[in-house]
Amino acid sequence: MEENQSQTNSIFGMEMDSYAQDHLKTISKWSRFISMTGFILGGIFLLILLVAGATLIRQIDRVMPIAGAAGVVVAILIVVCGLCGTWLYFLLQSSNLIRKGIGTTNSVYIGEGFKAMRSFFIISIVLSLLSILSAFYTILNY
Amino acid sequence: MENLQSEESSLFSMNFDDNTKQQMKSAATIGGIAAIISIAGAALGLVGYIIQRTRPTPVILEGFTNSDMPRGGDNIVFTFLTLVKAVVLFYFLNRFSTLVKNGINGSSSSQVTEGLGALANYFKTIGVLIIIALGLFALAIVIIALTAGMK
Repeated sequence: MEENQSQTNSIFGMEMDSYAQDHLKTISKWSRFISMTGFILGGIFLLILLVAGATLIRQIDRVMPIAGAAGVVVAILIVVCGLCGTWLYFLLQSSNLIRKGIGTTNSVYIGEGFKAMRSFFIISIVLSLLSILSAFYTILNY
Repeated sequence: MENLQSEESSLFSMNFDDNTKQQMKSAATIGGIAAIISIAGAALGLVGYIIQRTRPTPVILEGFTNSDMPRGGDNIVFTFLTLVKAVVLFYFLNRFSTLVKNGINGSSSSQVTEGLGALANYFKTIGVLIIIALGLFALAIVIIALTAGMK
């Protein structure tokens, strides 16, 4: 009897009760809001950069009169924008997959959603490390 | 009646299969590392702020008075709020990481549920902070526009 019960557990895994499903719905809802807001704000930021790009490059050249300084700043901006875009993309993908998983009661989608969330956390680590490096640079050069 | 109830429960309840559990555990592990690195970043920011505050002002001011000199990170309220935000987010993400990992290792669905609740609170907190920041930004724009209109 006990053996039977343990077999049933290993086949069906752990039960996901209504509380867990509610939490997953909340995760999906808020992560969707965060990623959509991020995409909208990022779009506005890029639009401003495109419109005021020439002025910005002139200002950088004036502040840092080193050959290629503007190019380096633009390259850094492109890399950071790319990282942030990928970061938000994984969050949105995670939100969509978790929502799909709850809607279709298919835990495979939820697993894929958490896989996307793992990528989101990996990029969070990279961004945090970049901000730590930037803080170190500021402290050492103050 | 009991049969019906059990059938209903099996229709609407879901199970975490092995793949889902592995993906959740992996996300929880990476989330825990992200939580530690982000709190380290916040602590470093605070250290930077303290260093900037305690650093003596340069003697040669090159024609500027002391009050004219730009000093970064003078806003203690902003730094304090950033630190509080970092601590709250660290708490939720670390709790998610610990509870989900323990729950999956010990096959305890209640711990996994609690961990998911912590992750839900983590995203909810970020969302509310974004709404507050956008509200304050909109308010600042209105005030600037009104001030410009009065001149």
